[in-house]
Amino acid sequence: MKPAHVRMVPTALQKMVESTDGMRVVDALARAERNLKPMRDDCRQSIAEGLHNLAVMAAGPLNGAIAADVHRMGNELLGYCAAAELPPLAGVLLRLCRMADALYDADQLPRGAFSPALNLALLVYEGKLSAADQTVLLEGLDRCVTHYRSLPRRSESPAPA
Amino acid sequence: MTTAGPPQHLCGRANLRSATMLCVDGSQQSLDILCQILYGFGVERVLQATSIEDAQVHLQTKAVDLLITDANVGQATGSSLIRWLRQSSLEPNRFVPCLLVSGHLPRREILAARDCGANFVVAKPLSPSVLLERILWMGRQPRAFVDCETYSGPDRRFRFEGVPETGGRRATDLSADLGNKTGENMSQGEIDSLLKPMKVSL
Repeated sequence: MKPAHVRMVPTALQKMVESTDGMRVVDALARAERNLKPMRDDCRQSIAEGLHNLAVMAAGPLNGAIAADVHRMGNELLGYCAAAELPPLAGVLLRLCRMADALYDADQLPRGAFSPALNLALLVYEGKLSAADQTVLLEGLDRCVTHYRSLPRRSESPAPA
Repeated sequence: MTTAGPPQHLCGRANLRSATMLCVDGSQQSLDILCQILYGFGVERVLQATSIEDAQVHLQTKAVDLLITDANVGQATGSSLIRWLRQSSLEPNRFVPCLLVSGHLPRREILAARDCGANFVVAKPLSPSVLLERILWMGRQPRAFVDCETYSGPDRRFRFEGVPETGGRRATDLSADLGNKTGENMSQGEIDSLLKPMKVSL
């Protein structure tokens, strides 16, 4: 067996971040935030379209492939939340992805399993909920995730006679 | 009245102007967000790829200083790109710091990301402060690079938690079993002189 070779390899990034003549870190952050501002409306539009597509996708009978698609789309929409200035929505989408992950290899996927998360996402997107209500409803989604994780898995199903 | 200054990690300066960064994401809009953040940091050269194949072409033809890839790139995974790079003979690119970005990653995929050779996994939504913090962290706290039959990438033991429970595989790993005392105990002063003093919050 080949022995492990452990060594320090200096990278160009090391020199750059230790530079004393560059931009102040606080200024770099302010510039980055400023650059994101013009993207806000486009990101909100993408989120609105994505939530609509997710609702259509999750309305019918569910299976593992649909759960995988919900996970992929939920992850993509999560990426727009900071630029869209909708940080509370990120918490809902994260739970939607957890649900999809929990259901991916479940034996039976309950019909409408994603509805609680998608309905809450819409309400949060539209700004119709107080922070306190959001907290309570997010806890409800956490309970759904726990329940979905406890469902029998496909591999655990009894083999057909 | 005193006002608190910015957090320690936001102090100082960084000159990323000459850096070349490669961003990989299946969504062009996500790439645009990432690029705008990096331009804000002063980076002037950001390469973009919407597929693993495009990213591989960039890595084969240009030297990059940082790779940032989404966990899902189309039907492929960012982990597979990082593993390919780490195991390639592309120098110096195979040693570059790699960040994997993902919204929700199940635990098994986080472990897979660590074992493919990523330096960090960063959670979405990606904010400028989190991204810059990770970039500075990677630059200021470099990790040794490990090459062995089953793994190529930054040293995964960087949290100083000791030898893994599964037992040490490295020649330098000592046994976890304590033997009998073989010499005089060191004084606190001698111990302090050997270790880098660490700041603690009480």
